[in-house]
Amino acid sequence: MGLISKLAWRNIFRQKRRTILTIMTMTGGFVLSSLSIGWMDGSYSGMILFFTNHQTGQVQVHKSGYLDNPSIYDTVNNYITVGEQIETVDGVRTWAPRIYVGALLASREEGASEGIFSNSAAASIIGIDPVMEENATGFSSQITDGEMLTASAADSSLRATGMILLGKELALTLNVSVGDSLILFSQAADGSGADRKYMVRGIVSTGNTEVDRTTCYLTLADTQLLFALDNRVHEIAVMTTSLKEVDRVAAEVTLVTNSLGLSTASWKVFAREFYAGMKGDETQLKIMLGIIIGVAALGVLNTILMMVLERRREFGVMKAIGTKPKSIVRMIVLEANVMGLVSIVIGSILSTIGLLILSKHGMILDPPMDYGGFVFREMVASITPACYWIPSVCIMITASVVSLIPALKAAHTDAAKSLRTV
Amino acid sequence: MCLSIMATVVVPSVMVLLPLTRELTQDLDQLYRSDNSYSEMSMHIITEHWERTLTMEIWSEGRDRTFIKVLSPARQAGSATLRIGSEMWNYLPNTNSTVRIPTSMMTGSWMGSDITNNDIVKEITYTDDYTAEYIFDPDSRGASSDGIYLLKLTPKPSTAVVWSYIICGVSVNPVLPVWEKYYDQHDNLIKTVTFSDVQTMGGRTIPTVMQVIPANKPDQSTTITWSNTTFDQGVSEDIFSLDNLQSGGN
Repeated sequence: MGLISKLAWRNIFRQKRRTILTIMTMTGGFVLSSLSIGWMDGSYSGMILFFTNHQTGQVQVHKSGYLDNPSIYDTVNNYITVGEQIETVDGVRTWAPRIYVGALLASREEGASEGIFSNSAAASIIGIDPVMEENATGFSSQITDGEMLTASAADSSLRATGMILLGKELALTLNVSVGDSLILFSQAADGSGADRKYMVRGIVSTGNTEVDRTTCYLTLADTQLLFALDNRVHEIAVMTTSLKEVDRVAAEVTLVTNSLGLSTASWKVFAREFYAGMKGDETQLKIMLGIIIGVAALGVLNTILMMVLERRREFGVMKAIGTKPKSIVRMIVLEANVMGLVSIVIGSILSTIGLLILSKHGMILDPPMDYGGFVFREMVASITPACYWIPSVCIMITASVVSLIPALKAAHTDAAKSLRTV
Repeated sequence: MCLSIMATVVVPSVMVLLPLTRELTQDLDQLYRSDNSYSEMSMHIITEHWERTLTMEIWSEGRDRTFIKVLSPARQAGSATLRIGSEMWNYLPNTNSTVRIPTSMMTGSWMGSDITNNDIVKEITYTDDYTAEYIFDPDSRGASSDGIYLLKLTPKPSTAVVWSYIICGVSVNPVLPVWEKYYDQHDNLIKTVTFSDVQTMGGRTIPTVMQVIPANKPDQSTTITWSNTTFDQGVSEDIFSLDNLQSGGN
């Protein structure tokens, strides 16, 4: 260890109160930055995972143009073949086919004559394959009352009574509960009338009241039969093994689907509003992070500047006995860096504790946050490498840059003047 | 300048020959209306994806009640629609049920055609719900040479319609609609309705073919052809009831 390094090391312990103050400022900055990053990463990746895993899928395949102008006629034909091809792409966990159509639902008012269904409401129908949907999104976890759809006679006969799941608010509008009957009335893709009697099998709560007010669910086979959409679907939702794989998987699925006149989009495209809302918030958090680091840097600058001023006489003596200005600069920057390293160690321990608590318990959002119709009630933090390396780099750069200014000032101290004034 | 001079000279002289707009709209309003009526008609719907023809019977009474029963094709035979005032009900034979159409679905298509539920329910008259004025468009082939006059119908503020105005081509002697063009507030055409094949039916001279072509889908159309109509021959009260609807009008 050279003389300057030795001096720097000793200086740290010479004025303990000053050192502790500087280390505390740096540690505070580290912990705040680290928690902010963990919070940001955790809440956003948590949200993306939640809404893509439980509802949309991370990648979707449609007939070209469907997303901009959805139409019952714009379908993915021979969907099983397409789905099986998609499944071969590396990084695809599973896929689920869906049909989207509109209809009128009508229930009987209390005391109304047999066959008169006067309580009616417009509804969006989503046709789902019960097994594949469950496998992809764990759909049944959203059923608050009743049971999940299963295969039934309605899948192969137009005369049979079908099974339907209703959004919670839609069930309230229609004033029906599990076991009640209702009539579905619409128009099939071949122009003929589509109507069938249904029994309410369950009530669904997605957490989005707008969706639950208008949406109901039928089995895919039933929807295909009723709406004359044999072997056709409107959407193939693809679930990837990891969020990081989404862009690559989307690109590879595109290679499969392009030749079939289909278009592939990742959640960033088909859930534009959600993505834009999240990006906007992410920018805000980044600005906040910048401010936190800025405040910490100012604190460090302040303490080091104070330290230099307090030690003017000391630097005057050093210069008087022949110490080069360069060595004084090195010494001060070294001191700041050592304190920075200590702050990083202490900060890492404190941040880990904080992040662990936030990742377990999270924060209840009241009122809930709404991104393009997807509602989130809780935010949790996640522990990622970024929680450590970004604050570490920031602290080290800040310590070096911020200490350089007072160090240069100290190095250029006029020895005689310094010794006289103190 | 030249045109405006022409207009001031020509318009007053034409106005003398033309019936008052009120008389004209009253005649147009009364063309298919009566205290009661019975009609048989077919509706041919062409879309980009499918094409089909429905045949149906229609009973009406006054301005408030209409009963429509579909006779063919087989998959839709027995379907019926009942309108009483602003309420509309559909009978669905497959499920033997009668469903009320909610207000939110009124702008939806009726039986897959280019006619909306509102078109059936709303009993709007040109005379009471629109302000009518003649327009003299020098570029149009209208004017008096082929006997077609142009009438601009602007809905009154209290009239709830999705279009901003209608330009009608009307023949005056006898008063018959030839075509109607519906425009939005940006002067974009919404749909064109044409009337043709004028015949004497049920004691009246009426166009027996009406075609609706939506402007944004020029390859799509709905053509209604009247094959039989009687006016003021009496219609049973029982027809316009939910019980009759629930029995499929049988």
